[in-house]
Amino acid sequence: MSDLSTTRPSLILRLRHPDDATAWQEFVEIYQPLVFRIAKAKGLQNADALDMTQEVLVRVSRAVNEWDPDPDRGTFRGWISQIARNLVIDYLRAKNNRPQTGNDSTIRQLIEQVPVDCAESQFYDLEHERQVFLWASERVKNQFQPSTWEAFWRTSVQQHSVERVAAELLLTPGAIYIARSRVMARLKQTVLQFASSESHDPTVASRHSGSINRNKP
Amino acid sequence: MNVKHYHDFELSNFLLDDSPPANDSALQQHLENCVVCQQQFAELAAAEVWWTKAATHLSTMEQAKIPADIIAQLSNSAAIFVPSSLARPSKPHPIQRAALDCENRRPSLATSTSDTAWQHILDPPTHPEMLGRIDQFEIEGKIGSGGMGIVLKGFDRNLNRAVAIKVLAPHLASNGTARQRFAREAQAAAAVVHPNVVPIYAVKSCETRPYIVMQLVSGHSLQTLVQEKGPLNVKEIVRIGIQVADGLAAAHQQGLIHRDIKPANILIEQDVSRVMITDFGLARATDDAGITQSGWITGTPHYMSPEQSSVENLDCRTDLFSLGGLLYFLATGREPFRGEKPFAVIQKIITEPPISPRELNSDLPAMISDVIERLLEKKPDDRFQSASAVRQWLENYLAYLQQPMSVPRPQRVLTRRRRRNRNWKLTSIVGSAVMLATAAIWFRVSALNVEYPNSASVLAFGSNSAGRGPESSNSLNSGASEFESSSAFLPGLFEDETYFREVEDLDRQISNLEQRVQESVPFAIPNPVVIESSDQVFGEIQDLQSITTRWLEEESLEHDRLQRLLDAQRDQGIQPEDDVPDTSDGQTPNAADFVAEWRKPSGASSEDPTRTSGFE
Repeated sequence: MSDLSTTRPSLILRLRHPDDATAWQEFVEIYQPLVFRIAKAKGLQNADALDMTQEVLVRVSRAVNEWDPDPDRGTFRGWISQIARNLVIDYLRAKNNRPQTGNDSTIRQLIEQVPVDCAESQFYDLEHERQVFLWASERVKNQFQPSTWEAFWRTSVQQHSVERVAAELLLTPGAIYIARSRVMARLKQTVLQFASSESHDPTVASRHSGSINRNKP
Repeated sequence: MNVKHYHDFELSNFLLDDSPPANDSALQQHLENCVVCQQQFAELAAAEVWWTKAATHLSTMEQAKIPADIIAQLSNSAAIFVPSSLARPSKPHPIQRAALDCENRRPSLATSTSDTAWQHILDPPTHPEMLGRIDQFEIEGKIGSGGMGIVLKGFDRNLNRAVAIKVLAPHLASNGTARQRFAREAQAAAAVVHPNVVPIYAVKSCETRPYIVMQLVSGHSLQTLVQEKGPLNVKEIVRIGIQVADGLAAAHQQGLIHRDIKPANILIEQDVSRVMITDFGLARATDDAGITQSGWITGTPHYMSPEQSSVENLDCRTDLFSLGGLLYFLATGREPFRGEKPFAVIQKIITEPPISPRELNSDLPAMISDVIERLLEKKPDDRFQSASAVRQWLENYLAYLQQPMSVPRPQRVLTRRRRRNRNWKLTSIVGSAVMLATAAIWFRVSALNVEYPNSASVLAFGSNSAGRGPESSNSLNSGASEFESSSAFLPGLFEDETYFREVEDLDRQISNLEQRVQESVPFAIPNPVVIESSDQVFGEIQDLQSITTRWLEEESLEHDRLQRLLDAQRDQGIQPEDDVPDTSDGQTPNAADFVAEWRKPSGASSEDPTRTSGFE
């Protein structure tokens, strides 16, 4: 636990900027379950998976010290997610007994690593995408009437027929069509917003961050 | 069949509309029958791939769900990561804190601990003459109150002894971090067993009423003692100093810093001259509570060390500064740094040397006065380096006071003031010596040169010009040898003296000071609480600035003087000549280059290993 206590003050110090603090909180919200799930998927016990999650977050939080708020280098989110990605892929490669990019890599190495393309990275990216969808769906769900959400969920995710769901929800099929698309639009927008905030390319981030409140086709 | 289709933009507008589906009846009806618009509408919401992804990803939601107990564990650790920047107001800077502490001197306590208000924390007493009860402790009454809470006099039924119980103030008890730290620091302090540290019997950190049980010391605090009796005499001061230093040494050995040494925290037993330190490390617990609720924390900034106002990581030497302040108070009856407002006090702590205690109490021996001044040095490095060193010195001095005939007087402590004076004298002596010697060498070398041209520089103090390689020794002409011999001579003298160090030292001080000013100003200005409090704060900031500027000016004048002296000596000692031998880049070497060259291990520059200088 000593790691944690030494991490704390520096983190508080570094995250003076409220946006960064929010970014960090969202990061924890998304990456904790992500790392945990990946660890579980790779056959770790709960306790070990928790440890791994902890360690990844501690290492990322240490990287916060190196964070240099230079607009040319992308966003804080982009920075920490890149580090987390490289860390986890390193772990996965180590677990698969494959040559690592360096489990003990320094933060600098982690951030400067060229994004690897391998089985592990594909696995990670898929899990990451899944996690972002899950996270976004939680958010979006709360923004709609329960019946609107259900119309989307039952038809699109559970793949029930529109007629059946309409009957279940006491709505017309037309209402179901409208509802599910509205939810989908909002979901897409939320996922995109998050993805662009994580993007390493600062222009992408700025292009998306303010403007996608509404999905204009 | 309706062949008319909706326009894309119309459909898009429907996507954005959050109104309940019932309002969209026209579109609803149309969509039910028009497959083209169905598809178009879905496509406008999100492309096909999004629908697929949403379906695949979200359909795993159930499997992906993390068990509740794991979520709890994860979010516990998240609390460690995310915490305070979001959860609680940012920690006030110590300066601000102490300042506000003083200004709002315990308003919250005034209400919460007014005569009877605190009694609600007590359980009903088992004995009719008692006020109340806390667990097995019968409470007889209140001893006092402070920033941390209240101190009660109690009686331990189980062990049949009187105790003092310090109950953490409610506003602190409700703060989890403060409560934990309170318990942790108290536990650490409980491990210090020393006759000069008030023993802690028990620590209870329950949420509603955390408290510490301590030995009940019947007597006064040094604060009351001096307020009632005035300044103490030398022997008393020294005796108390020895004991406090001894208690501190024991705690420091365990890595425990007191952080709030002040007369009010030193208790003196009745009729015995034993003193005991109380409240070890507890000041730290209050750091975690936000300023707004706590009102009064360390209470007085008067004994705070300069580094306490700027550095997060303190070491035990902060206690030594406060010990200096304590002894100052005992010797003079007043605090070393005084100001109408806490800001003024802290500003003085950081920038001004205290008035020598001897000026305030002429009975005070210069030796003690020096010890106090040494403890009150701004830079921790300039103070005594450990509490045990202080104790040792004071013990020697006490022995001398008691038996002046048989015990030697301990060596007088150097304060910065005296050290600097001495250095100046030394410097000027050295300076004149250098000039004389240089002149003499010039003379001799020129003379030698005529007779023994090849050995001149070797003779001249064995500088490693001897190892400089064939061409340089061959090309030794009078100019070169003058240069080399004198430059080799200069560092030799200065290296043992304080000259270069002093210059560096001043540089460092100036940059430290600049840094401190930079650090303290942003904290002083933007906080609205501070600004609202009064216009005087602005005045104080201005005062602070002007004083700092003056201080900076003085320091830089002094620095300039030193620099000029150095330059003068360089000019006199070294006249760079055009035909000076060979530096690699062909530039004229200066003294610093030669110093560097001279200091190099001889092997580094020497081409001829047989001729390395034996001087080192």
